[in-house]
Amino acid sequence: MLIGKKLSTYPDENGMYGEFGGRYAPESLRPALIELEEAFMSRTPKFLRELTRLNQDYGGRPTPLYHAKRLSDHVGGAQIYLKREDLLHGGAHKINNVLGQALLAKELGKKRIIAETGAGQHGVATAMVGALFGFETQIYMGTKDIERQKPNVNRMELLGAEVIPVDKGSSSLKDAVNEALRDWVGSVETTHYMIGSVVGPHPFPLIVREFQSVIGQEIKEQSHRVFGKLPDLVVACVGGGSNAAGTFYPLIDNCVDLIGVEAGGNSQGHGATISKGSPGIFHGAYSYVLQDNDGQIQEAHSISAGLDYPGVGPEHSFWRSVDRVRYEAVTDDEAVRAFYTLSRMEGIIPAIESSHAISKAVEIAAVMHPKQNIVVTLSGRGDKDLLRELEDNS
Amino acid sequence: MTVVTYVPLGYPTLADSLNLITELDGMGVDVIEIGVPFSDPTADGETIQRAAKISLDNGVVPSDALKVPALKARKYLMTYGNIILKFGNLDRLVDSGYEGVIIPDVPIEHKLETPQLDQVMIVSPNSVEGRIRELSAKSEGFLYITSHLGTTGGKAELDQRLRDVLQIAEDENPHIPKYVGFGITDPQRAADILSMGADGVVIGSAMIRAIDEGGISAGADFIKGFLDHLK
Repeated sequence: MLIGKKLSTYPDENGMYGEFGGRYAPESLRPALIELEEAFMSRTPKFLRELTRLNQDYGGRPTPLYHAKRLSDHVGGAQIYLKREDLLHGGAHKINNVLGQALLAKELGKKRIIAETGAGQHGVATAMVGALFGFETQIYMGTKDIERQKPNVNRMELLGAEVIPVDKGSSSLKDAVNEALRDWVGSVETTHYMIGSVVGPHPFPLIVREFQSVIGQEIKEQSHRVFGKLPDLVVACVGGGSNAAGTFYPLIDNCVDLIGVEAGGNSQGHGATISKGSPGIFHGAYSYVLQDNDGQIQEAHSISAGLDYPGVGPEHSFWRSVDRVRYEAVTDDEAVRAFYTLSRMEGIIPAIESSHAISKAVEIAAVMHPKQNIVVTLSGRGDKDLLRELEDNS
Repeated sequence: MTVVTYVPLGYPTLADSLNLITELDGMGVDVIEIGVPFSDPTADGETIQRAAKISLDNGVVPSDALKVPALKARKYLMTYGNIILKFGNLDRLVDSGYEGVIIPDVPIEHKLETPQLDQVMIVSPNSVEGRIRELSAKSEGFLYITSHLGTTGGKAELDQRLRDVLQIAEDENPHIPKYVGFGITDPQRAADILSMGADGVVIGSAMIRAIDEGGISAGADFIKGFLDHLK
């Protein structure tokens, strides 16, 4: 059924990526999902100009494609390039998505925005646009994450957002999404749910992918300029999967190897939804999920709050099902080693999420030729992880 | 007019919930929705979330739904899509006397394969007219109409659009029974809703709160209050 149909043409009109995706949501959300889809599909040139301006002047785009030469020489294989999303305003790729969604929310006349956050990066980004656009902003965050990402909680509050603690279930990202969905089911007529990843019911996976695709578009242009061709391999970390979707999508029809890196966790658990999960209905979509034999959702485990999620965007499930993208897991320990390696070799402190992608890239680079090129999306900076990392080692 | 009761299976214990179901059936409740707990019940408010959590902590599994005895009341299973996907052979539900399933996170576009089981559709007060008509025409068994936006339970005022929803549904499909649920806290509210043209009301969270206070006998008494007032 896929023959002759480019992967870039998905989803279909029902929000399906092959058998994945869809709009598995309570009926009361349907009008808002349709309204949002219509606003998104009819973006005007003025909207696009405004988004480009905000991405440049407020967000800090384009971000550099940086040749990590010391790291590459150290590894002794392929050349490693870093797509520096960590340099964006707020310190992560999350700003790309919230600027676009804030413009949509404004067009829809919404005065209040809600969001979920895990590592706090999306919460901070949402709080920033909440301030910038004058929205009333409330952020749901698991109490476990509030504890391990305290600096980001302080930033959100400074920016004028209210952080609502969620102490249900695993008290992490999955439960924050549950609470945000429950809020939205009742508040949908006045509130926009600014979802932070390529998850949730259609059209969210499409919208978030589109706003994040600026990453992959820039990688394409910059690769030609910097090393005269497309990269041989592109690597990004996958929790819900937004930085990876934005990195991969513009390259999906090209001859470039793509690897999504999931959280392999430790002996107590993992967040490797695609590598180790199975398909199910969760948070509005049919996609891979961590679940038991009865269909109960299992808790994820990762050192990284941003990857600590038992679901994944449906388009990733699709890309896996057609063997377009490879998904592999990197353990907590391997990610921490990469966190230190990049800090010491290049003077760049990566987010612990992004450290998973660095780890995998370094591993593969070692067995590639020095004339080959790898691009790794460095999705965020690691300052937020520093406090805990130092505490753990003191 | 029809009294529908939602009973969370396994709350406060599996045995208690099975006893309660039998008692409600004996009292003349017309339809009983057996609620199978899901780990992430995003369409449920605090009360049913808590009941589901206790039920899961009690070790209740979806196949425990097969332990519900044969009833005079019509028996429906209410749970989330992923539980149905993983349930395996749905004929077992048919054999146990279930007439259908109610799945709040599965809209009609994604209707699951449930041969011989009705799939009840849910209409919301903010559903547009075309959608109300579509769901009224295609729903099986009955049409479930929520009295307000939001999750189950809740204290919100009745959504004023409810009357219009009921009229449109009746106009489109007079044959399908229309039951209103979410936030049915007392017999007077139920009577108000019936006067708007509903064929029945669904009581869930309010009965669970009664059980919290005084055990399953208090839950049964609470429902008896509705039966006495409405029948």
